Amino acid sequence: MIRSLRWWLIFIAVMCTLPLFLSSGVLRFLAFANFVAIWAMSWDILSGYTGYVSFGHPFLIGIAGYATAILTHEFGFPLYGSMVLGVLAGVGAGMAFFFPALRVRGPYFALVTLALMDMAQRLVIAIRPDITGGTRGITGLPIVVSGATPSFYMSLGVMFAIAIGLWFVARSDIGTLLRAIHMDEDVVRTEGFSTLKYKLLAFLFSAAVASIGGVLYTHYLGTISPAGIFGIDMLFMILIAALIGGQNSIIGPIIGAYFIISLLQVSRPFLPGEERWLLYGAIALGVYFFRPTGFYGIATDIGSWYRERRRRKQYG
Amino acid sequence: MSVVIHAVLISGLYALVAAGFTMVYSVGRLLNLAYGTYIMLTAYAYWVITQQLGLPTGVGFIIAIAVGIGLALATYRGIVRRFLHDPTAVFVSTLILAIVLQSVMVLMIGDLPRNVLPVITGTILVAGITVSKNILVAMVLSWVTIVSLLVFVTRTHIGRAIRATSMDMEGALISGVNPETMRLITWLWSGALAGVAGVFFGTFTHLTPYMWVFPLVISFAIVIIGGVGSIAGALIAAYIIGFAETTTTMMIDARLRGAVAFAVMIAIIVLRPQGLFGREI
Repeated sequence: MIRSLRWWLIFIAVMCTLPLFLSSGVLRFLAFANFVAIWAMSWDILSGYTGYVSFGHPFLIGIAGYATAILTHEFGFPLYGSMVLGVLAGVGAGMAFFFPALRVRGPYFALVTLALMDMAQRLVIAIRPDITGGTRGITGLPIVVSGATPSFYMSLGVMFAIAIGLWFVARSDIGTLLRAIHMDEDVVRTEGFSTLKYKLLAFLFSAAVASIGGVLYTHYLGTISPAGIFGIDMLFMILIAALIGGQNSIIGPIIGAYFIISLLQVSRPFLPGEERWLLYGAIALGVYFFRPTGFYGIATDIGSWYRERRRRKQYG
Repeated sequence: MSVVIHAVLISGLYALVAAGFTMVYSVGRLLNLAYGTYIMLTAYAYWVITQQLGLPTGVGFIIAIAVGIGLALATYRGIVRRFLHDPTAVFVSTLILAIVLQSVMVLMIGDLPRNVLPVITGTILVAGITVSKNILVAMVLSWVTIVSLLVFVTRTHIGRAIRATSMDMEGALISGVNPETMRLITWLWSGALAGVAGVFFGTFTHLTPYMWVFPLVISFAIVIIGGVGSIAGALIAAYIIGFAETTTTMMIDARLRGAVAFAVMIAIIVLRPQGLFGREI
């Protein structure tokens, strides 16, 4: 346990020193990468582990974000109280709408969640635009911390707290069971486990993490808009971060998030608009074809190859 | 009365949109999330041919169908065939493909909404209500398509072989069926139907590169409600959705379009996961 935690500590230490070298512009996009990492991990604990692919994470993020935005902006709730309520709203909405589809096998879950996301975007614009701000959304929301460096540390701290939490969950019996559900749900049921209970558990973790990310992101930006949060771009970013990084690993999505956000930043001068989705899509399809386990899978393969070689050298 | 007629017509359009999706999902058991983008791209192809180049509608139709077939076969050969053993990988990779195709369209044509002129202009009076001939043709076409699909799948040798492949691969192999050919035929049909549906669907909405989500959701809802594996069920489901939707959009709020299909789908998933006429999943 300590041995594997060592890498986390090194990683955290390196990340914490970054603000000393980097400009505030770079820190801003790293803060965004942290948020994407939170959402990608949230996707991973549900979809990467159990195989119930969610296309609707923007729905959870958006409902949580909109809940807290409306509570603070329209009803003058205190910031932290409304953030808690926002997370509850995200989890509650997820339970009400996603959960029915989790009971049924196959691709239903993916399509129901995709439909929900699309629906949410349209309904937010249509229903009570006086409260939701319609297409333009809500601006001037209270901000958790201001300045690039504090925001970076805030997002980093939350990201690591969530990462280590989920990592322990994934290493526990729960993680093993979730993987087993992915492999063969019938066998898990035959062994006397309630797969619905474990899927629900994975979903609750996932929805809570996504909502926490959504609430913090809303109060980090200070604005929220339907296109920015329910859009298919958002889904794509989360999905690709998790897929490129390596699903079913918790660490992979973090790598993936940093990779695609860095690529986004580096390529911005050359590829200002829609081209980048083409590039990401191509990279994601390429990685997915080559190795469905992503960068994390490639890294662990190299690691085990290296250890194997060293062992051979030692024992001849 | 006007509600009923509009509902009947819009249901026909939905049935037409869902037909190609049914072919691959219901018969071939593969979930192709890029199907919505076929509708989008074929609608664009028709628009370019008839309104940009000014060629006759017949040419537009043929090109649209060709584009649909090309896309479907390319998807199957390029992506899906590698992941046949892993259904999750099929729909994840086809979703990525859908978004790639969307961004290709944004780059090539831009995301300004475009209007497609009706295939057939003019109106006709049906029971005292003016109805455009265009949607009437779409409805008739949807019936023809679904019925011929049903006949093809249940009555012809190739259709039975396709169903056999999706039911029991080994059994089909032993009987001398080549599963690869069968899948190619399934995808080819799916692409051609997407071409026809794309042209008509395009004439009823604005063309944008983002328009593919709605036909995809509608098609999926239709298959779920009708029941996976039942083509006649799909036709009935299209009418259920069409009626539910027209009533709500006309009586309550026009912006609820789509939400209704979705609500019906959720209800079916919870109450009767195998759909109204489907086999057990």
